[in-house]
Amino acid sequence: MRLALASLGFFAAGAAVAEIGDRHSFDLFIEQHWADADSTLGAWPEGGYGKLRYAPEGDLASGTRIALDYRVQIAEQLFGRVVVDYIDDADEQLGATEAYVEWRPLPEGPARYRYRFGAFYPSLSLENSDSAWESPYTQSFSAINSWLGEEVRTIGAEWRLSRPLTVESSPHDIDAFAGVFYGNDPAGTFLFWRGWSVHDRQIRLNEHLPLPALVLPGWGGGPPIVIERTIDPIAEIDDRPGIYTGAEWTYADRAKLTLAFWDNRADAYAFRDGQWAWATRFWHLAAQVTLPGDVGLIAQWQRGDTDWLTYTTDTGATMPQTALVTDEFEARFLLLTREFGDRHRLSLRRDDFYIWRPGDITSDDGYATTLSYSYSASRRVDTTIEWLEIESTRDLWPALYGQVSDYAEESVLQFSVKLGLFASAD
Amino acid sequence: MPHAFRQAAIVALLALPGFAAGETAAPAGNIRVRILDRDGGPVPEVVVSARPLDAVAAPRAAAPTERMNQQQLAFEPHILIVSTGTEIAFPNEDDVRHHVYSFSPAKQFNFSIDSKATHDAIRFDVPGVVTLGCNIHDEMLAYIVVVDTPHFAKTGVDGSVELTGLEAGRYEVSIWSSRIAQKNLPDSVEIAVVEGEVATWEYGFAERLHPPHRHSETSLHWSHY
Repeated sequence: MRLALASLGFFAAGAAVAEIGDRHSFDLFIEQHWADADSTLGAWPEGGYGKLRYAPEGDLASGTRIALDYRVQIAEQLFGRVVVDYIDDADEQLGATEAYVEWRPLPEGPARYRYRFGAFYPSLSLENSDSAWESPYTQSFSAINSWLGEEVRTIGAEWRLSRPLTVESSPHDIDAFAGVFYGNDPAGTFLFWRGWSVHDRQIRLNEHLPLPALVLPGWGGGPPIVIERTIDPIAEIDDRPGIYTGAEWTYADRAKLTLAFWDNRADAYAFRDGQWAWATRFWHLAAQVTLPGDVGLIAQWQRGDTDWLTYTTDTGATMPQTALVTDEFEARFLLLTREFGDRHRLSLRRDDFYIWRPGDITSDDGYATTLSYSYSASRRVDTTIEWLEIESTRDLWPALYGQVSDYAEESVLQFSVKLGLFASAD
Repeated sequence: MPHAFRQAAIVALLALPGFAAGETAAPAGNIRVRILDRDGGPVPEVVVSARPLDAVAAPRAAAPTERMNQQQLAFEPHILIVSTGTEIAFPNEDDVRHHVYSFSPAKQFNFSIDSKATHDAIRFDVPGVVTLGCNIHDEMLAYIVVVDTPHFAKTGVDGSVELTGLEAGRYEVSIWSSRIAQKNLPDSVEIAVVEGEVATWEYGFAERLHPPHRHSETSLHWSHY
C-alpha cells in the first residue's frame, strides 16, 4: 500500500519532467555534518541507548545527507511533491521521506480547500519549515519534532480548509485540517524503548531503524543474552485507519497558533511481521510569534499516551499474565531565533520531556539545551555550529539494558555545511 | 514620487478640459488629505479618491495600461488604484508559474501565467475592491482598487497625499485601506475645491489598524510546508 502510493507519487512526478521548466521546482542540497559527541550510550540510529544521532567514543563523527525536494505542477490544480534523500550512514542509503499529490481547487469564495494524498508529514511542526523538512533555525530538531521525524508520517489523505480573512481586510486567517491514514501503528515504540531524542534524522518510508538491544541475564550465570531488534514505525499492523484533526489561527503573519489531535487508533493487541501495534494518541499545541526586536519565538507542546502489552514475545505470543499498560508522554520546547543582517542567525532552544507509567515509574525525564549559530556564506552555502546538551533520567534503564546507568548526560558540538547544488527560484 | 501618484497627477492633468488641445489650463485647485492612526501617527498606503459631484463629467483621457507584476512570489504593487475602464496587464517575472484569481464581485477571473510571460491586459469597469490571490502560492495577496474618477492617489509615508489640478467644484472624497474592516471605513466626505487654493481633510481612525501586509521579512518562516 505504502510502496504503491509512493511509486504513484514518483510516477506522477516523473511523467511530467519532460515538460516546460516553470512547472518544476527543485531544491537539491548536500549537507555534511561533523560531530564531536560526549556520550557513553551510543548513537540511537546504531542501536545505542542514547538520544544523539552521532555518539562515537573519542572520535569525530561525520555524516552526509543529500536531499532533493522536488515539486511539480501536474495539471492546473494538481501538484506533486517528492522528497528523496541519500544518507551515508543508513542501512538503506537511498530513501523517500515524502511523496504526495496535492489537489488545490480554485477558490470560488473566501474559502480555500486543499487536499493531499500520499505520504507526508501531518501539518504539526512549526520548526521544520525548510526544504526536505529541515529546520531553518537549528541543525537538530526539538524532541517533539525529532520524534515526529522518527515515527509519525501520514500515509493517506489530508483535507485542509483555509479561510483567509485577509481577503476581507481582516488580519485573521483561520484553517481547519483533518487527515486519515494507514500505517503508523508502531508509533510510540521508540518513546517506550529509548525515550525522547534530539537530532535531525528523519525516517524514510519503508525504513527499519534499530531499537536499543535488550540485555537479559544469561542462563546459569552464562554470558548475557543480547536481543537486537528493529522497527518500521510507519507499518500498518491492524488495518484500522488512524486520524488527526486540528485548527490553526494566524494573525497577519505575526502570530500563529495550532491545536491538533492525533490518534493512530491502533489495536494494541495486534501483531504483524514481527511488530506490535502501539495505541498512541496525543494532543499537540504549537505557537509562533514575532516578538519586538524581530525575535522569532516558536513553542510546541505535546502530551499523549500509548498503550502497550506486558509479557509479550518477539514472535507475537502473549503470555498468560499479559496486561495492557498505558505510558504517558509529554514534551515541550521554546525556541528563540533572530537574524542579524542577511547572513547571521542565532537560535536558542530549550526542550523538556517526560515519559511515565503507572506505579510512579519515570521512563524518561530530562531536558535539552541547544545553541546554534548559522552563517550564510552565500545564497548557496550555509554553515552551522551547534552545541547540544541533554540530561535525562530513566528508572528502567538498568532493568532493561543491564549495565546502563539510570542517569545520563550527553552533549555534542556539531558543525555542518549545507551546499545548495541547485535551487529553482522557488 | 510614488508611481501611482505620478500616474494620478498625469491623469489629472490630462483630464483638465482643454489641456490636450493646448489651450490655457482651466482654473484649478488641490485637495490635500492626511490620514492618521488612533495614536496620531501617519498611515501610508491609504487609497484616496475624489469624484467630481458637479455636472462636469470628468473627461477621461485614455488611461494607460497598468501593470500588476508578480515578482519574488509577491504581487507588486500590493495595492494598485485604477479608474474604471483601465486595462491591467499581469507580467510574471518569476521563474515559476502563477495562477492569479479573484472572486471579488467587482471583477472575477482566473488565469495561469507562465514564467516570464505577461497575461493580456484585462479591463476593470466596475468600481470596487478586487482582491487577488495565487492558487499556487497561497501567501500572495494584492488589491486592485477601481475608482470611478481619474483623481486618486495613495498616501505616502507621512500619511499625506495631494490630489492636484482639480477643476473648481464639489468633490466626494473617499478613502480605503486594507488595514481595517470595511465596515469601519469612514463615509465619504464632500469637499469644495476653490481655484488656486488647497482644500484639506484630515482623518484619524478611531479603531486600531491591522499590521500592514508583509512578505516573509522576519526571523520566522511563515508559509505552510
